Amino acid sequence: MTTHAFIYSMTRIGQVGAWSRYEFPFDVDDWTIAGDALYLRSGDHIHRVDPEALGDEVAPGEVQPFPGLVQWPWLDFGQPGVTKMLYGFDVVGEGAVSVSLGIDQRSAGLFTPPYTVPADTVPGNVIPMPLAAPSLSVRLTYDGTQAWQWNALGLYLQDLRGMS
Amino acid sequence: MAYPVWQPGTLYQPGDIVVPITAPSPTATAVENGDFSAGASNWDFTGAAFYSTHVSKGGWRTAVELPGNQPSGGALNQTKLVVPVGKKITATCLIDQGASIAGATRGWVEVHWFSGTDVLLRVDKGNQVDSGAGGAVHPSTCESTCPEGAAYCRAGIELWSVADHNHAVWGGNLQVDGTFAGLPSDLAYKAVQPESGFSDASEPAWPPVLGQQVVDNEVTWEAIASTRVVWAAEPLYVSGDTEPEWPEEEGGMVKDGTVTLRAVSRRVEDPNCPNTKIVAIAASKVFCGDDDIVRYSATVNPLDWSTDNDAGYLPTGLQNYGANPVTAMGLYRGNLIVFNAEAFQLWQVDEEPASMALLDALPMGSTHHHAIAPVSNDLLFLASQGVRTLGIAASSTNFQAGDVGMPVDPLVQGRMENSVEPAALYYPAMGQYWLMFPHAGAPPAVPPQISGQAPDGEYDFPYDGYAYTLTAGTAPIVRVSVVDGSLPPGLTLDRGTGTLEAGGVPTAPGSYQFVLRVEDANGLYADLADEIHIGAGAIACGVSSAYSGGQSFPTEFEVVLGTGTGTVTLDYLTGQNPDRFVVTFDGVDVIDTGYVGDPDYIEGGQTYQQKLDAYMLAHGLPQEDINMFNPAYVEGDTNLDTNPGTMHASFVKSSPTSMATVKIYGPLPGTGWSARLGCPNADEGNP
Repeated sequence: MTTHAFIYSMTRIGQVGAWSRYEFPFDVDDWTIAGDALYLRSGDHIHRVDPEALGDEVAPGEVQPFPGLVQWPWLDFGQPGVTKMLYGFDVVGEGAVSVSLGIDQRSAGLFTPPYTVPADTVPGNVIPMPLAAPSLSVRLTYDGTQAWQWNALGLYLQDLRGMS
Repeated sequence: MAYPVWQPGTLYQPGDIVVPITAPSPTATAVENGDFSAGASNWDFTGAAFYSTHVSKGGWRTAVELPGNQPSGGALNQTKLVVPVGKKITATCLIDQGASIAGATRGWVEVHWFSGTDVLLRVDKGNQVDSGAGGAVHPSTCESTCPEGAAYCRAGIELWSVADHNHAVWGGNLQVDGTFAGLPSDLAYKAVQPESGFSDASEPAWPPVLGQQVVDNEVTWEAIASTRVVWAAEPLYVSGDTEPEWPEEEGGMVKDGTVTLRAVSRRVEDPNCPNTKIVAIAASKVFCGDDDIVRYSATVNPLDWSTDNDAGYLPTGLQNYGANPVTAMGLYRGNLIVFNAEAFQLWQVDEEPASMALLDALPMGSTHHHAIAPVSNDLLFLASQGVRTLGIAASSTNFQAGDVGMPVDPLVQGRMENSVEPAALYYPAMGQYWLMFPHAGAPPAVPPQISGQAPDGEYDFPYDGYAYTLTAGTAPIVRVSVVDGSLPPGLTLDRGTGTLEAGGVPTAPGSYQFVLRVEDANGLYADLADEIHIGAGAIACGVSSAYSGGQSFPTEFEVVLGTGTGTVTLDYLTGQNPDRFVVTFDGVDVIDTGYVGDPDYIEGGQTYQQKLDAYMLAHGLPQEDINMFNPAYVEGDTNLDTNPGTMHASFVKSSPTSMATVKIYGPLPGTGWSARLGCPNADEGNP
């Protein structure tokens, strides 16, 4: 018996929230909240939800990190079909992140090799990533070994249209 | 209750009660100078009586004298005797009539009771002595009980005479006996000054007598007896020693010790209670879905579903979108939301049934009662297409549909198809709405387990073998393998059973660390770290060892005797240079030859005994005598069977322990020896 949980987490930005999924390897018969903690009952066992826990316990005592993936669809960044020049990017968040950019929207697998940058790249120079494409898909991968959060991503682009 | 202890410089209000740090000295338990041995001190004389030095017959000092022609007088002892209320004292004195005519003069003992403010409350008198025939003194005795309100008493002697009688009468030897408190029980001090005031820096002289006062800077304390009421609790109802036979019918009675118990139902028995699982609690009532209505209980009485104008029902079926039966209910901002498969109705609920009203209805339905949860300003519920919300526009009851669930609609729909009833919750600390779908499926696979610790082995001797304990998890075990380190060379592992096979002969001594992994058909595994030590020095029984030159302190080797029993013989050979042979078996030194050699043999200007003594001294070891070796010893012949100087010692092996240890101590340079521990000889050991 397992329990599949869809969890909607609200953010501080108004009504915006995000869904996540968890698979618990037990039945959740009932639940209660005591203090700030959520307790789940499964038969004769009481589980306490630990917001600080990282990773997936694939076997008793064996916790494996699982990566977090943030990916945007192919975005035009201006007029569709016009090639844009990307100079670099900045990312803000928590936890080291690998950045990869898709450059051909016909080929879902054509991405640049992942490039690991610190959690917050705003101080100092722009992270250089020169490439040109009519549309881009950004993919951020957090390896799951540390708590992570994505806040912002900035791409520095130049539209290559004439007279732009 | 315990009263606080007096504190210096503390503000005390009138009525405050304290107990002293230093208790006052206990009051007297006997009258002082009652026999006038100290003259007139501690006495107050009254009337015409005065102190005299009169001594009566028998040597009694009857020092209170009432002269003739005086009507009355007496003396009252100044000692204050503190007696608990209701307790008795007995006072006695002696009266000497002297030459008086019987009845013309009289004398008696008195007890005067005073309040705490020295107000005389009562006088008790003893028997009157009015005859002194023969010049004898006669006692007067008074038994007196402390009256209510009395703080202390004083005892005294009273004398009386008719007016025209001219002979004196005397009294003396006052004594008291009885219950004296020393200090009143539960003595405490109460602040009696009219206004709050501070106590002094040092403790006042606390009065020992109830009712007396002492001034303590701005506080006036009065001695009181703190009254206490002691309550003892005792059970009225006590269950019996054994569990009663419980009645199984509702209303059945059973006696259990002094308790009579009646069986009651844990269900709501009111016939109007629907007893469905669609329940909400609001406005001090329980609401319960019942097909096309929602019944509710009486206010603050969930057992009552019938009282008019208190319990009742909401006619949801008669309202907008009411055609379908009630399937779910929730609460939103104090209002009751009643869902059916088609729509929801929003009801204002109140403790007063007349105040309940339908507020709104919208065609958004839900059939999942347990998936409803209020989240922040919204109410999240599970509709047929996924998670939906109700949100309130500012300041009105105009509800609008939300769509936070749309990103996961396909996933949720997939779960809804093959799942039992989902449950939902709001987790405020994390700001999360949880929607949980339990579903039947294979439980997580359990990995296999391995445990055990292999025994050590001996170089060049067959290993005993060892089977690790394997426990299969969900799937059967497929293999056991060494994933790190290595087994001792010469040992083999059965990969199917996890057994180190017996009979393998270790080919190199040393410690071997390795990690075994057991894997099952699911690919799950467990690891076990183990270590096997291969000893270096074991030899077979019946095999001789020899040494020549240098020192041997000690040479130690293990001998494999096997599990058989019988006599084990040590053959050993040594010359003038002393050697000592010790055999240890089962932790006990079973053979110890002591040092064997020639103690008087001189080598390098010293005897071997002198050399051995010096060696032992230098190494902090006890001195040992050298026993004479076998003089038939042939120099240079190390063959224990042919050298006529071979000596023998033996022990009887009676346990199956296989290993024995042979230690040979040869502390002096140039030593040489041969030794051989034989195999157990059963015939000799068990004739």
